[in-house]
Amino acid sequence: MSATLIGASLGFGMQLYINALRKLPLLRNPWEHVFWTGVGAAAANMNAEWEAKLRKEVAELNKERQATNASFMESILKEK
Amino acid sequence: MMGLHFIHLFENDFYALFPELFLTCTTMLLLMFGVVWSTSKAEGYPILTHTIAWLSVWSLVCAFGLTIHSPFSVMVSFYNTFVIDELTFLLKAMVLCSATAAMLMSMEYLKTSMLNIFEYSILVLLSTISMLLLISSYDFISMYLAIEMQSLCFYVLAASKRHSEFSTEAGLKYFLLGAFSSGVLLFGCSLVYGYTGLTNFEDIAKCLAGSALFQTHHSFLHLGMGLIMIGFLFKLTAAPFHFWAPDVYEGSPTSVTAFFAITPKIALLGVFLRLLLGSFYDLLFAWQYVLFFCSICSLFIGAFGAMAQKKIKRLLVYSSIGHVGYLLIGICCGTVEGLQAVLLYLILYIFMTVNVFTIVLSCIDHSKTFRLKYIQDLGLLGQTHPVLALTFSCTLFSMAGIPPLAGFCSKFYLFFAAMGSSLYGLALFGVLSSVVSCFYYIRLIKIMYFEQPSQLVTYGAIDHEKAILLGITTTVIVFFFLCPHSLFLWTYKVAYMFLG
Repeated sequence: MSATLIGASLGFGMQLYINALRKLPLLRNPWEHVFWTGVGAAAANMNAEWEAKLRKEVAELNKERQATNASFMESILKEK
Repeated sequence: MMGLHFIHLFENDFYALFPELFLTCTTMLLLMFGVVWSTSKAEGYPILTHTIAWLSVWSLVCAFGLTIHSPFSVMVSFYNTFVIDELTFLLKAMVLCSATAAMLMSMEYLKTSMLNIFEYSILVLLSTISMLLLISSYDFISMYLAIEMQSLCFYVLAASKRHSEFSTEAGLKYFLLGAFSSGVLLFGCSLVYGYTGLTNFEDIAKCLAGSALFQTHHSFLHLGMGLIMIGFLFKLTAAPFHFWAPDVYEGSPTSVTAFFAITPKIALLGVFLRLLLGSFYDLLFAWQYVLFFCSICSLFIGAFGAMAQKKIKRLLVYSSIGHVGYLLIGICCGTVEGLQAVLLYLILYIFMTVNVFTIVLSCIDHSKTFRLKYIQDLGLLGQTHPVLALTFSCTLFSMAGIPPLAGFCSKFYLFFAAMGSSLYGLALFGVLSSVVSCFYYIRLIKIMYFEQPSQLVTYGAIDHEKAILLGITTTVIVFFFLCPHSLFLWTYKVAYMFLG
């Protein structure tokens, strides 16, 4: 919910900023505000999902890394 | 049965390079369309620059879609000539996004600067294809061919403003010095081949594995590796091999300069990383010295060279030389954290460069005759276009590494990676150079708000494409610190999968 809100407000703000850059009244072309609000909300949600997926993948990678390091250290100790 | 098996393998090879093949076919179709239509007497010899530019943008967007929906995550294809992994995926996505941005920001420039050549978009597409191939290349031969294809497109692009002497000079200079660096690179490759008898990156890595332990290096191998590094550093505009860049970037049309500054660095750095951290990883202590020296030179020349500049394009070139110095710090580390810092820095650097060049291309007066050329032309931009001045100030602060903007986050991470690898001197020099570079970035802000321009100009409204580009890049630059996790995790995953 918070991701949607933040994304939507960023998208809306971005359209205000685009209009300001183009020296237009800030609320000119209201359908563009709706479009960017939607894009912002969708992008923020996708980002949140992606982040959760990445967290899981990175945790697995770290587990794998620790296991590899442990087995490597064990092999060295055995050799000694 | 054997035949069927072969066909299956061959098919998969083509799936692996589907975005490149798609872009190649589209480029050929657009070229034919342009040649046939623009010479059509019945149609009145139409100017197709804008149409083909938009079609090129759409084909780049489609190629991006194909790249992110690739059926393979890791694969070696075409008899070990090309590779696909997490690193290539990240870099290809960046190349396609930045090429799209470069095309979008040059739309208005193509119209107003009378660059009525539809070949401009074709050349951008061809160079993008070669960059994609370069990122995927896994062999000296495919690497060299991709670099040459890219360079040939760049020489023509640099000289594309045919009525301008500066542009022609830039194209010629680029051609001569680019050919020289390609020669050095090829000589280096041939020496490495002479020593190892191999051209494949992975095979070279296997051949050199453990050589550091047993001290079995051959001077020819070191010389070959050194020449390859010089060739790449030359193309990456790292000091002391940077001297061609200010003249070429200044003489080229501004849209081409933007493209040169944004896109090729990604591809070249990608293959450079693969070579150093893959094939020559066992020679880390040999190449680390070279990169250490080049990094310090680039930081020094980038920081102090920019101070003396009066033209905006030259200043941005020196700034980019400085940024290459920061990127080299990360490569010097030779660790997962170092590679992660390089990738993070590269992504944010692309956002900042797109933003800066969009602003430079946006500064055109109402009559479309006066363009921003000298730094002093930015005078009173704070009064004539306050939103643009504010945006430019934010980006310059970010480039200088002022918190909490995106540039600070990337530098912060880079310096920590350097300290993690005991490169304290390099980290300290990076911090000092960052402080010095603040001087010329803040000087620009001072001019925008407090100084009179050499010629009083009121810059006009910005076109829609550039405004959207500025909107997206400024949002990332300003709000990155609120949610950096995804990018951190992604770059960590890519770096770990490559080096771990």
